[in-house]
Amino acid sequence: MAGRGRGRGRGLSINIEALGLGRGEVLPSVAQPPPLYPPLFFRPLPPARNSDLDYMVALRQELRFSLHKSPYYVNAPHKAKDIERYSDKYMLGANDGAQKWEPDWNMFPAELQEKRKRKLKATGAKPNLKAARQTKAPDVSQLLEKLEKVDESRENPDDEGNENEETEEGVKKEKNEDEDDEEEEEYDEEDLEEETDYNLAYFDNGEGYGDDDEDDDEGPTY
Amino acid sequence: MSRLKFELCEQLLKECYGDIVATVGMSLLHNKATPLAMIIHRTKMEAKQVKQALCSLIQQNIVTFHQNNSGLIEYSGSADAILCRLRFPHYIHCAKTLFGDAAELLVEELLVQGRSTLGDAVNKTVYKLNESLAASGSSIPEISQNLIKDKASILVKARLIRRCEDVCRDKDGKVISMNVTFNPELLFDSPREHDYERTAGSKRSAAEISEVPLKKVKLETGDAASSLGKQNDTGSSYWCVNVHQFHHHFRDQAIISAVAKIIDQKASEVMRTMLRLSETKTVPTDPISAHLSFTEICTAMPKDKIMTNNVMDQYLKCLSENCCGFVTRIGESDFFKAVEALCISEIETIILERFGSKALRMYRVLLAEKQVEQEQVVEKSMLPPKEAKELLYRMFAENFVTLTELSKAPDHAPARTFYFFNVNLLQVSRMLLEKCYKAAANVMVRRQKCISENKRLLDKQERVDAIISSLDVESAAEQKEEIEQMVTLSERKQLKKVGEASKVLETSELLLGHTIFILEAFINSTVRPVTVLKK
Repeated sequence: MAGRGRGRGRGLSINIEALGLGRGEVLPSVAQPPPLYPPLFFRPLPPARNSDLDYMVALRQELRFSLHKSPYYVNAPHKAKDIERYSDKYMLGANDGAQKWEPDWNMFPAELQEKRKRKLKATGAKPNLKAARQTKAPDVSQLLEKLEKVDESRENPDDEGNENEETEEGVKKEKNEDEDDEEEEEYDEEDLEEETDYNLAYFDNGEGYGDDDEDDDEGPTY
Repeated sequence: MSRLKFELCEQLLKECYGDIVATVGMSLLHNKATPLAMIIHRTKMEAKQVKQALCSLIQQNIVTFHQNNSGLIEYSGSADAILCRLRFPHYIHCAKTLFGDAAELLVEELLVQGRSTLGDAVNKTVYKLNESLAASGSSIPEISQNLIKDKASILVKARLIRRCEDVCRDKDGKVISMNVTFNPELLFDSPREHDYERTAGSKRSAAEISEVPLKKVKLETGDAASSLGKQNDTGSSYWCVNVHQFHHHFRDQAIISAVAKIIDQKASEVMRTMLRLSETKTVPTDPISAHLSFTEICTAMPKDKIMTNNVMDQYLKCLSENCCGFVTRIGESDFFKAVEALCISEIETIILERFGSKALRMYRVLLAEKQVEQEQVVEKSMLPPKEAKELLYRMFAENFVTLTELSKAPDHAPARTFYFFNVNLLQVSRMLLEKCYKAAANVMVRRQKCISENKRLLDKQERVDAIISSLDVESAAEQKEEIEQMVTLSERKQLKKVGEASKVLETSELLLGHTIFILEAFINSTVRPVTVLKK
């Protein structure tokens, strides 16, 4: 313990003369990180040039070009800028012209595949319409049969008066429905006429669509 | 894995495949095997883009995948596969010098595509060759597909291209992991007719592939021939470039040119013959080639360079005595020694360029004597003490030289301690490798800046060139001149400057790639014996 205490006052614990420094010399203090670009004692020579190297440089440039054009170069999606410009349509990305590349899914894990079919389900309100019509279809054939009967009954009006009433009721119902449809359509058209400016000016290019395809289990939207 | 290496990897990925792929790739490099959801979470990017980027990376043989215990597919990246991109031009050039233009185009196509069916690659090569023939207007008849097919099988025989690893599937036929190859020979199975079908891979159904159970193949690994037959049906129809064979070739080439420099051209021919002979006999990872007999070498010499037994004997003696032990008397060539010598010469060059010839003299003393005291270094290198000390300390400060303390007494007092200067080759080459990574990344950043600064000018030049080339047909000289003058004189000067600068930068990138190759070869060769022992 005593030895340690005595050693303190003398400055350095080692004999600095052995390192080639004089007694009075002050050691340079290190208070900052080394310079970003350390000074060089010799200027480096320019890289050697020969025909092989030149050829390889050309090869490299060509390679870079073809890699940029290749479908493996994944581009960032176009960011929405401050305003939409007409010229944006003609601005091409690095490889927008490249053909689309579809990996051979025999060699890739299936989870990397984008699920297209599910997307279609999500967009399609059509299947439901069809289903609705299919339920109507037998009604129509029945209706036709009924109409035939009506015709027949008109030819001999005395017979089957009860049925006639019934069928007429059915026809009326159908007619009412048809009229309703027509009304709806007309209403739609009016809507369009009134609000054309807004509707036509709004254009969704579909870029933002399908980003959240994980939660498309909710079923079709109405 | 060092930070600097990753930095270089990032730059390379960015340049080759864009920012998104670079982000995904770097996230994979920083973390070991990662499942898809984790990658998406870490990169904070849209799932669609991450998937796309992963596909790109797998296609380029950078990322591999396997199933973990809980059934998730994990992806992992390889930094070395990325760094290979630094040497792409070397590979292409090598293929050209070895097997001609067709091989060059084939290798280039495979490098750009990452992996491709042989049929596609051959078709594209044929198309390109014929196009260039048509452009040059020469009278050579069109190149047929069979010619290129032959070239492809030559490349396979030379092991420069190989089959990709096939994939493993689970019971439902889903792809779950890359196949680990049991038998490397399978990868070099020569191409069959079905390999040349255009879409051989996609046509085969999953069921067809899983017909031959993998276990069966596993059992038969001992019997190469029979498993070859089995694997034929299941072998991957995708092909890629075998970079390791290229690396072997580069190493051999470096050895040959070193011999040519130390002795003479004829000695290098002897060396070339020896290496060619051993190439077929030696396991690629062995540090020492197979033993070669005197008569074997003599008979295998190329016809026009045959020498008498006497002369040959002298050359072999010369080789074994002068070349740092490249060749030993038993008649083998020692790759490890050769690579070490190459690495030393690389380090010496760096010392020469950084510290001058006097420092190099001291460094050589240190290398030769292993452990040297300061006074001895000064004495043996015959330099004035003050200058020598300064240089020695400078090298010490920059970690080219290390110091060992050997104290006579337990108190480590300087007066009673020996200070031995020495060179730890492995450590120095590791440090230099790091510096090379840093330098390569810096050069790339610098070049990109150079290009982006002058983007407007370069675009303009491109447009003007496009207009002129479209005018060529009508050959309107006046119009052409007018358009040419759209690029002003000062602009042209600036363009020339930019072109020169980027060319210099690119050349240095290539040279750095070569230095990195030699340093890595040395470091890998020192590591290998340990792994062999583990087995």
